[in-house]
Amino acid sequence: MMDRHNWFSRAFGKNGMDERQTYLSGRMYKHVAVYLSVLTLANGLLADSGVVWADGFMASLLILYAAYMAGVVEKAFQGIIDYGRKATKRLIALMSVAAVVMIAYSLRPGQGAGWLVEDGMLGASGCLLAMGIMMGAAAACMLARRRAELNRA
Amino acid sequence: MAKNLRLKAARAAMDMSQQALAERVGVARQTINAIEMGEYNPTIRLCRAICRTLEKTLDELFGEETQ
Repeated sequence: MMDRHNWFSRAFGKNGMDERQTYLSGRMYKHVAVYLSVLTLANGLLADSGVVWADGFMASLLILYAAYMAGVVEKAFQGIIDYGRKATKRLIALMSVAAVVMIAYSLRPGQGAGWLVEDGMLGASGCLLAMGIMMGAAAACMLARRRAELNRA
Repeated sequence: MAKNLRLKAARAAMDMSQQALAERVGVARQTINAIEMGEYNPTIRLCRAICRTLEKTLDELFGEETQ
């Protein structure tokens, strides 16, 4: 039996990944850094050419979020389940609930006209909607992958 | 990387599923599948664990194939 659960992972309650999953997980974070760089560069070029699509803080948050969600999707499709089956199920449920709450809150009535785009920029509700959609998409990908795995097992 | 059909054959000879082998050597089923499909190059530690479980030598399962 290989040592997947050392004292560190036991102490911090994290399930161990095997060597291939550890390697792929590391590669995923490397890819997240690449996505982040590309998105930041694209945002910089857009800003330089006078196109400001969102407020600075929101734009940064969305770029960071989009890069990480892309990484989560990549990880799901590479079959890395590093939390165990039960915990993954709970994580997917939590992500789905968060996505629904974010989308529902961003679409709440009474925001008046221009709730999505304010002064030619994506507003707070628009950003929240985008984040909710990304979270929902990531949860859907994780669920699809989990179902495919369960059908295969 | 070429498919590792010798590993697949040895596993089948012991009437073992990918899942069963994975559990015995302490990795995910996808990892065994990736090794068999030639998509992942395992460490020597994992190779040895697989060899012990399937009662084969490293050469028999992971050695260079002679023409």
